[in-house]
Amino acid sequence: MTASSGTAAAASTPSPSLSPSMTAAKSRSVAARSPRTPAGRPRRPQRQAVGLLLGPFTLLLLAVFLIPVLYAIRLSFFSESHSGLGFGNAHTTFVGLRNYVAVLSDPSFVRGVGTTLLYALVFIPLVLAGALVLALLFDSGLIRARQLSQTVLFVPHAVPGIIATVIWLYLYTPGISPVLDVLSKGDVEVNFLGLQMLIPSLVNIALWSGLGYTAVIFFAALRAIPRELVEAAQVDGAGAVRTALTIKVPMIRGTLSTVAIFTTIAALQLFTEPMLLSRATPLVGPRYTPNMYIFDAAFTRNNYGLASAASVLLLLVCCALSYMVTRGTAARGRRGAPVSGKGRS
Amino acid sequence: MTSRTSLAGHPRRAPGRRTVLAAGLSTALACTGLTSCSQGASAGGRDPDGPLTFWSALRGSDTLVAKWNATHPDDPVDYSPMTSGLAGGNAKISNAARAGNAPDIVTIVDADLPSFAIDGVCADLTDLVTPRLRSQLGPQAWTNGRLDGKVYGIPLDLGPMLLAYRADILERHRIDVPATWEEFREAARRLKRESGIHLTSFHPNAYNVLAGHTMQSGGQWFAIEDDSWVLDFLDAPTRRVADYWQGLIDEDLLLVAPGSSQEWLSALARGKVAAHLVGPWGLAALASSVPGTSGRWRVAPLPQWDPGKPVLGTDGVSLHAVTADSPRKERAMRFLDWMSTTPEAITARLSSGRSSLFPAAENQVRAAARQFKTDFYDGQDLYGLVTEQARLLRTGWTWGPRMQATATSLHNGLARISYGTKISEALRTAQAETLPDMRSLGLKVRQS
Repeated sequence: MTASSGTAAAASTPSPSLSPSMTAAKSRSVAARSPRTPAGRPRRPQRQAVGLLLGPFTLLLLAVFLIPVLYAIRLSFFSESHSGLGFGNAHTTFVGLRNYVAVLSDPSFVRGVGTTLLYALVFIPLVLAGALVLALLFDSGLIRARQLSQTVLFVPHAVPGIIATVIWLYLYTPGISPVLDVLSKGDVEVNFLGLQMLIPSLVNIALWSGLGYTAVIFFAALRAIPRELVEAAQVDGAGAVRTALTIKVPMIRGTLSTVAIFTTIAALQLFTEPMLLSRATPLVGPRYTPNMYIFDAAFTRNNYGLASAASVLLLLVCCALSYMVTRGTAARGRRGAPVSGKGRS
Repeated sequence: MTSRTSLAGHPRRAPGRRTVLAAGLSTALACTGLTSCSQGASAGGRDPDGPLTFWSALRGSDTLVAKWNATHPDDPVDYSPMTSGLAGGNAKISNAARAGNAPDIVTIVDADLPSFAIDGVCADLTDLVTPRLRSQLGPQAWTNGRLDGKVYGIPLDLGPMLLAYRADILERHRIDVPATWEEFREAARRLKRESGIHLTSFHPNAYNVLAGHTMQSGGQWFAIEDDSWVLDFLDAPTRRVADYWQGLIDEDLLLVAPGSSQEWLSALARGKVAAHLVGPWGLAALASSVPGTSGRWRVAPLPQWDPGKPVLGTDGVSLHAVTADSPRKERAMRFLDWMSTTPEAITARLSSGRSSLFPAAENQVRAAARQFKTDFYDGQDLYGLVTEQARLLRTGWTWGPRMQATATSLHNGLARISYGTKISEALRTAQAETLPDMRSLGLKVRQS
């Protein structure tokens, strides 16, 4: 049910149509991944090991994911209900799809979804393309002091989202921001907290924290490409750009799509940054994104049924996206590069 | 609660950095409420003979309780301060009530009463109100504490909207204090033309002011008809108010700036805004916000649509509610009776001299007037003026069952006024965003 297990399954599926150059990579990854007997069935001690290794995961999955999800689903169907004017007659009852209808007919929720999609549309291509370019530059050896620049790029990821937003909020706020101060001296007036700049401002914060991390993942995937392949391309006369575009990028397609799905899901769950921005500008309301809508429904409106219904809807969208990308990756995996990487989990 | 909601949003086994933090943040927020609740209530517990517990964000509650405890040593009250409703106080009360450790008495704003009544936080006090208490507080006060014929909150004060203005600025430009909204517009035009000064400001974060104007004009956002809520945020009177203020904004006659913002306060201090529309409580707040302009302000009645039939709206009053689970309701009512109707109580509450609260009980007015020094208003008899104005208060306004959410919706829309959004659009959106919430609670609701 997760993207990575899907990718792994796809990678270990034998495929007759593999090109010779791909087979090397394929067998390498299969060998590295599955400690199995030739028959494909784990032996007895191995079965115990499987239980030991998967047990904690299963337990955690159950405790922190499946049970809460089931509880949320229950809450969305059985909620506190009133009748008439609602004074002093609350009772918990089966309410059917009432909460779902309410969420979907709420203009603020629909607007929040729109805002998030717009954010995702701007952020995801930027972070993927930016990180890919950086990773390719690292890999090509064009950047000097690679270790240092990688560390510098990676450091923002270690800064918690809340702190990052506070830092940027400081830089965005007129009157206290040194950046705006310098800009205004050059007669440039920018209001980073103005209506049109909200999404760019959010994307900027997310890029700052996410770009280096994503680049490091891509770089790790690029390092796993067999050097012979790259050398063969160079012998054939391919330049650095040509090698990057026709050899390297297709080889890490699996990593690309895995990272894409994780980034998308993270984008759909946008919360911390706009939550803090909402303290700085009234233009970011308490229901600015679906996650903020859920928070507001639960803790401001005391409407747990509504909050649960919105949570379940968001979960469904994320699951559907994961499934689509996993399927897409699996299909491509059979045709092309099986290199899988760890996503931004 | 926290983990449930945030986890439901995670489809992955390993939540992302952002979402973990989000969950952490919400946990932290929720915990602040819960832990402080348990602290506050632990003194009383479920023992009917334990001390009364009392949470309030209202200024002077400490001196008030000290006075009660000094004069009623056999019936002590345990007071804990609280942040105001929108700043987290409402969430704290809700969480405590859910956790079963709410205090006996809480101070709430009139607009939040229906929400707490629907959630079962406030007890129905109808049968506990003594005839004496009922007669001491007039119909204008009870309209704030009553819902569908039942009493859920004991009124403390009255909030007729007033016009505080810079007498020196109006005099300098030979502008008379406007008595009607038509004159008010003319005054704003003249002042802007002659000096560039804005007559007053429009606060996009003050739903209560917009609601106050709506009350005055006879609008009704939330009505109760039989067994159903009827919503109409754009009835003819509200539309009149919205169009009027929109017109002033479009003519650039108002400073559009959030209430209590630096921008607004600095404009007031520099004399760039010449008036402030607010309830009585706001007069002391104004005095402490812009002390440099002391002595130049006066207070006048709010302009009227029809001076022949004067009527006024309310700007934010306080109520005291007894929580539904309290085992000490009778004793709580004795305390509230004392608080809302005796001169010694209001004297104790206002003894700091920094509050201009106007008590609902007539016999408290003189005591209250003695506590507030009106130097800022050049010694004007403010309580005399407010006493007259309070008689014009409209009765029969009802707030909505999720007013905090409605208010933030409205504020979010009004915040876009400088980007071309109209007041009427913000009202329409706020109504549309209020309906789904009410429906999902199972309330009977329709739009008229």
